[in-house]
Amino acid sequence: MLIEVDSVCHRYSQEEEMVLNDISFKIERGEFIGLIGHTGSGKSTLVQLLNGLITPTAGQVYISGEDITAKEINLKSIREQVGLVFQYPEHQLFEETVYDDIAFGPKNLGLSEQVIEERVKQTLASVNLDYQRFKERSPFKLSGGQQRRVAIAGVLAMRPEVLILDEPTAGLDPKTRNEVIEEIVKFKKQFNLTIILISHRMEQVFQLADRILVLEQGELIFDCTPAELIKEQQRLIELGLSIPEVTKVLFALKERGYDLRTDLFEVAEIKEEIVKTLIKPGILKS
Amino acid sequence: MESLIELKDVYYRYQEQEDEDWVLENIDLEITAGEFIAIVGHNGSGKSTLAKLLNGILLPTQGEVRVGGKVTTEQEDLWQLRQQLGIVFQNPDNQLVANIVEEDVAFGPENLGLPSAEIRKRVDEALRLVGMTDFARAAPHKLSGGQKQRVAIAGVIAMRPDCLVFDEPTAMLDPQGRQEVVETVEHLNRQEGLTVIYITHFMEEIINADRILVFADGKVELAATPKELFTKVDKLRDLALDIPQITELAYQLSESGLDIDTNIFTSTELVEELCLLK
Ligand SMILES: Nc1ncnc2c1ncn2[C@@H]1O[C@H](COP(=O)(O)OP(=O)(O)OP(=O)(O)O)[C@@H](O)[C@H]1O
Ligand SMILES: [Mg+2]
Repeated sequence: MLIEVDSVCHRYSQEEEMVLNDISFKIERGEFIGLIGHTGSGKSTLVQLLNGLITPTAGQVYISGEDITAKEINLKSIREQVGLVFQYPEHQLFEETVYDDIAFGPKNLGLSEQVIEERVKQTLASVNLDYQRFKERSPFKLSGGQQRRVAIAGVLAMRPEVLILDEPTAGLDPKTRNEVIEEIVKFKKQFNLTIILISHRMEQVFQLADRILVLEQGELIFDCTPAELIKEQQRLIELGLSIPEVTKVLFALKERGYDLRTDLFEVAEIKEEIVKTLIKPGILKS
Repeated sequence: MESLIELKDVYYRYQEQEDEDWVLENIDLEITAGEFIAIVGHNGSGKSTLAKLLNGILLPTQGEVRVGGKVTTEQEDLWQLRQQLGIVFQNPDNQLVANIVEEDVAFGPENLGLPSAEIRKRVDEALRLVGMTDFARAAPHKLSGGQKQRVAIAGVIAMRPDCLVFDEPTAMLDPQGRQEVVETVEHLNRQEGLTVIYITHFMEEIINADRILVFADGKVELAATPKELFTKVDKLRDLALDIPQITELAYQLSESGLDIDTNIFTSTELVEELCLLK
């Protein structure tokens, strides 16, 4: 087991209420996990527990069998294994140039200058930023979307085993958003990465994830596959989360008496399913 | 009608060096009071820079920006100009300063040195307009993202502006929060007559805009109504703009031979279309 969270509770101070309440789950190497829940449900707190940025008030977190809540733990080695891209990229950028910012992690890993430069080039390309144009720029003098790309590149350059992405595509233009997602999927295949993706874009989560965790007011209320979760449509809407807009079409058609699958999330698959269903009654033109 | 906002041949670059590329280039723009203008375009295309030029946080390298007739380079007018045009940003947490919602909304009017009865009136009105009256005494950090953003909007409205500029106000919000903000913005534009300039990467949010400006590499690449723009799926692809998945699905279904309209943005509309097929 790569990650195990056991009965974790957390609150930020004695006077405050619990932000996370008795959370337990396990993640295997190579899994793609989606983590959803509305703003303030505890998602960002939970992922910060996973790389030791926060120590839980109660309970244990194990990474590769090691209890990272133990006092004597070497947090540096944990953070090399578990890379976290923060929700707000400006919280992650600190060096004077884009190059140094991305090179920071690899330098700490003790890699040679040459390997570092290779990695910086490669990861900048993968987030769609031109190396020559951006390497000397200050990360603070970039547009919002450019900053986010640099933040993602910085974490990718560490080649962590677990990659946690907190809203990685918020504020990215559509083209870059798709490219970043493709790149993450490619990295995952290439290095057998384990991924935890927090996103408010339901279509993204339902399409990409093997398993989805749903947090509501600090409680883990679902831990299941997208196909299982889609059956909880009503509940998700009550929680303000909804399901992918394209999948709603299947549900609505089913409600009107058509016999078709409702557990599809990809546009192409849904199109096929609708065409197949409507062909039978002879509605199709051709 | 007279224009509320006017940009004349505006050029902008951040660095002084002559060899730097323009971040904004040759922008000519007139916005009439009451309009809902949407701005879209790739990362780094100059959208936020434009927003900052509008209230004089940045000054044009060349050309001129006017709001309600006042030029942004006139130092004495800037104070008033900023009351007239307020900006709401992406991250709600960075915008809220006080520990209680109504104090946060009162912050601007207090700085204007208004009498307390007037402040009270403005705060109540602003909270009512964004539907947050019930949360007047709440702590901002206990609110959802959508609610926080509505409080941030109330803070700007309390200054009684003519124009609101939104720079990706929903980027960090969950679906419900996004919807709340979009409805609030539309309400302020339609019912209250506020001029709105709305920057976003979400096309679904701007289907009711009067005009959409597509920025690319610091220039206005295209200006169109939502209908003109969204019916051209190929054009959207060329401009690397978002095509809502539901529009994409409608488009693909029609390509497969189903005789349906492709100018569709919600699942409800698509289902209606499909059920009309007989
Ligand atoms: N403070 C700054 N100093 C120097 N250059 C800057 C600064 N802020 C932005 N830029 C550059 O100006 C250009 C336009 O940036 P701007 O923030 O206006 O883009 P944007 O359209 O808002 O992008 P996004 O969708 O990522 O928010 C970019 O190339 C960016 O790198
Ligand atoms: Mg911007």
